[in-house]
Amino acid sequence: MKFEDGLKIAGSALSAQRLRMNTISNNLANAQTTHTQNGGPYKRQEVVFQPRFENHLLARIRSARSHEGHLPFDSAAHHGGVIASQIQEDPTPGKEVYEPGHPDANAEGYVLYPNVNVVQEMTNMMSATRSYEASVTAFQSMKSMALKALEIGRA
Amino acid sequence: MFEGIHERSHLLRESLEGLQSRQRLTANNIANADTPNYKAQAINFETQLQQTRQRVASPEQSAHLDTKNMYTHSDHIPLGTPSEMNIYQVPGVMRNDGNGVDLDTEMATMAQAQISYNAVSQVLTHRYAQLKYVIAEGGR
Repeated sequence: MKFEDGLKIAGSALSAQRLRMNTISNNLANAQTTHTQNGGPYKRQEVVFQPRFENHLLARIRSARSHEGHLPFDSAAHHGGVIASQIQEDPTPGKEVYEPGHPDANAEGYVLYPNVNVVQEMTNMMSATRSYEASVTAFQSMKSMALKALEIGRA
Repeated sequence: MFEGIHERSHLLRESLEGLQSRQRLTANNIANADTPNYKAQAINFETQLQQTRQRVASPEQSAHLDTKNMYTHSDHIPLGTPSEMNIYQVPGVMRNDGNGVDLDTEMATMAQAQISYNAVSQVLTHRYAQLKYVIAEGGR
């Protein structure tokens, strides 16, 4: 079902962008976190996107069967779209601030703060919002086409 | 009696399918607008449609054009519908991370495909309405 594929593609983008948005929120919330379970300050996290797309010809070859008794290849997982393959930590060092009274201060009185740049996070957030909106538009467009197709037989 | 009518409806259906594939690819491009090294994909089904149109217009002249289902052995895997075969990668890079999706173009393509789809489906609806009218009124 092709329309379903299209809706799933747009849906995968919506969930991927939402995950990115959640990660950005998490970064902003922890912009001042100096103490984590692993020790040391919070590290900025970043979502890695990966296309969930398979070559059409390849998909066709895989779905072809030489015998009726063979089990069909599950092509449902290869309809395209995007997935967030992992959430990785940004290894860049954070800034050091001189705060001798802080409980997490080191011997010289410096506190290690997270490597979160608030301005960068805000621009990332705007980018995620726009991408989300674009996918919503794609979804709506696809939906209206499917509804239009239903009207063909209604003459 | 109905061959000609069905042949022309088939043309409209093929066009609808092509537009639907275009919409699907556009949605995929938009979904991957933030994926590093992803390259946009597009479809050209109009050329194929033009050939089918010529075949409908003059069946005897263009009979040799039908190579869609030609294979030399029954176990060979068919090449698939023409619309699926005309998918190509759009050249060019839009961003530093190697992504090639131009969001403006994609949104425009999507709007255009949707309008065309509405138009073609309206023509098809009208065609069926005509047939229905002829069947209903012809019997009186």
